[in-house]
Amino acid sequence: MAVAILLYFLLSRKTYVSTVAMTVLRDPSPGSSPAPATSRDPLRDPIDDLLGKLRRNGANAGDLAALRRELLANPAAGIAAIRRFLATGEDSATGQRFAVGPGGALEGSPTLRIFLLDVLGQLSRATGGSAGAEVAREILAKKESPDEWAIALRNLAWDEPKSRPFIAEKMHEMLAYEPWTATPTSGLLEAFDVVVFSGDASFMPTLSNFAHGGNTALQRAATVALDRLAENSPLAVMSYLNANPTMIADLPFVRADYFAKANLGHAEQRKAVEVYLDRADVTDAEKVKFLHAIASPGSFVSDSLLSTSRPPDDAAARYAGIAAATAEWTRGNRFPALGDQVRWLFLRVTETE
Amino acid sequence: MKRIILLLTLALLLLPLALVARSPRPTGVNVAHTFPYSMVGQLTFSNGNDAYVGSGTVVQPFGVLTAGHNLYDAVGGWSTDLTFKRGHYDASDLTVRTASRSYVIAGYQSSVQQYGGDDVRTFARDTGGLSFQLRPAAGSYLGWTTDRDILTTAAPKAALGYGAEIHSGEQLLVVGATPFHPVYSTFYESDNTAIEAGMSGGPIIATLRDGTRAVCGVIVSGSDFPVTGGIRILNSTVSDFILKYLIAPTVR
Repeated sequence: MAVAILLYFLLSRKTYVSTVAMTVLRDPSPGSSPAPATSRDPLRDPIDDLLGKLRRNGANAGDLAALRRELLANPAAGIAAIRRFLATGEDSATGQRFAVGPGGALEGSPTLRIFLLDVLGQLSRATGGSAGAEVAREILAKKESPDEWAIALRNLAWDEPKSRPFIAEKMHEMLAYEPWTATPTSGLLEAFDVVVFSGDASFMPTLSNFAHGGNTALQRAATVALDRLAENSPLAVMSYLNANPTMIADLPFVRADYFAKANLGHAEQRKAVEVYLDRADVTDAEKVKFLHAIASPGSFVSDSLLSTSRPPDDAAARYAGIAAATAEWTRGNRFPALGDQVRWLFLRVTETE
Repeated sequence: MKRIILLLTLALLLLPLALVARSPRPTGVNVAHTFPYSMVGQLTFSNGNDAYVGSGTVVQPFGVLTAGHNLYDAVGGWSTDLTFKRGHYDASDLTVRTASRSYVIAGYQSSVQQYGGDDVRTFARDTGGLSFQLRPAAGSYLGWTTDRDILTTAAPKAALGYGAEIHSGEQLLVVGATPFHPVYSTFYESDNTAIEAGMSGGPIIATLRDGTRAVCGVIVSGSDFPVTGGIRILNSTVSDFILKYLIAPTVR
């Protein structure tokens, strides 16, 4: 067996400059009715104070964290204050990068509005309310900011998990909006997780186009989203791939990985795998990759807006399904051209310490 | 004649660099089989139509830490036949285990396709791990530290792995590392510390103030000129990753 070695090259040393804070002013949203406080608002004031600080470039991460704590400590007042502020359309850049943390909460918000939308979503979810979804629907009615759309989609999914079809429709709309995909923001890239949440395999052509396109940021996001979609919705993805044989056909080893997410202990998933292994258009090399990959499937892990990366499963249970299927395939000589590899897989998953 | 003089001059200028560079050397089988070095192993795997060799470290009873690029490639997909040979040294192994799952820390915004395989921003995120159904070291493992002072000061530390560029890839190699310095985010480099291909995924093992030894980085790159070794340091993200993904599943 020829052994190739990994090669490394000299790194280019570059300086990466962080975003410079800038102030953004928006027109108030048409149709919404800002409610200027006639008396002092105990939570609106801290938001205005922070807005002022941001505009003077005098705010830091600690100020944002303090405001978050204050808003989260009083959910009803916090929700009301945030909604009043959002309705004014005012905003300011924070100098932070859009970054997702544990549980889908933001660790970095590029603007004050995104920061507040994030807190609003958390408050709405924690209180079982609908404020997050209501504001989300307002934002999703217009295309002003992809980062705001990302948080709006998350908030809507949190408040109304049964609205998956609407959320998927909006995600299709987002990915088809060329002004946003031409220069994807971090928020737009993180919104690819909405595809995973939707479990909708009809996104595959769009994701495949991005994965093959010239924009490297979109390539990456689409590659991760395809893999996670296959992991979270294996039956939907396998069925789609079997029904659309040219899909991902130019990346046969990657396509094999999507089938390797299957749980062979699950009757329908096993059937989809058997259809795949029967396909004449799939090369033996790809099928062999599948048989090896299913013994040790891989996962991309990170904090995401909606989906949860899967922690280690009980390999013994997964292996039991593989052992049962491969034993039956061997007994019935189900896939003659793959006989040796099927037997190898059986031995691989039944080895003991 | 002028050309020969120029070449000789160039050679003389480069000579001091070659002399000061620290190069990996075999540990010998006894060291390779002694803790903590016995927690390091050779990682062989397939990707696309090729077979590769890399390195890894047992950091949990059922988990091995390695470099992310050992585990995934944009064209070849997930690597397969991931075999971890702990304490591998020529014909001897302490244990041989095959992985049941692999993980790469990578989100929608990060990593190889966005920045390119040789970009420092890629190396900053280049971490992965393997989960095993059968314990790779009978329950033993090497701890880790997120203390960056250990890396950036003169505290003793060594880079280990199965170099397959100049050496055979069948012996554990070690090279003492000079203090590391930050290059980008969690990607650090050590000047004049030579790294061979195949050591990728191997550990930087440091001696802590209390005398114990721990992993403080994962080898992810190396360059010949100037001679540098590049690592992904262990921070809270990697620490959380180890504790969430490389632990034993609830049911065994």
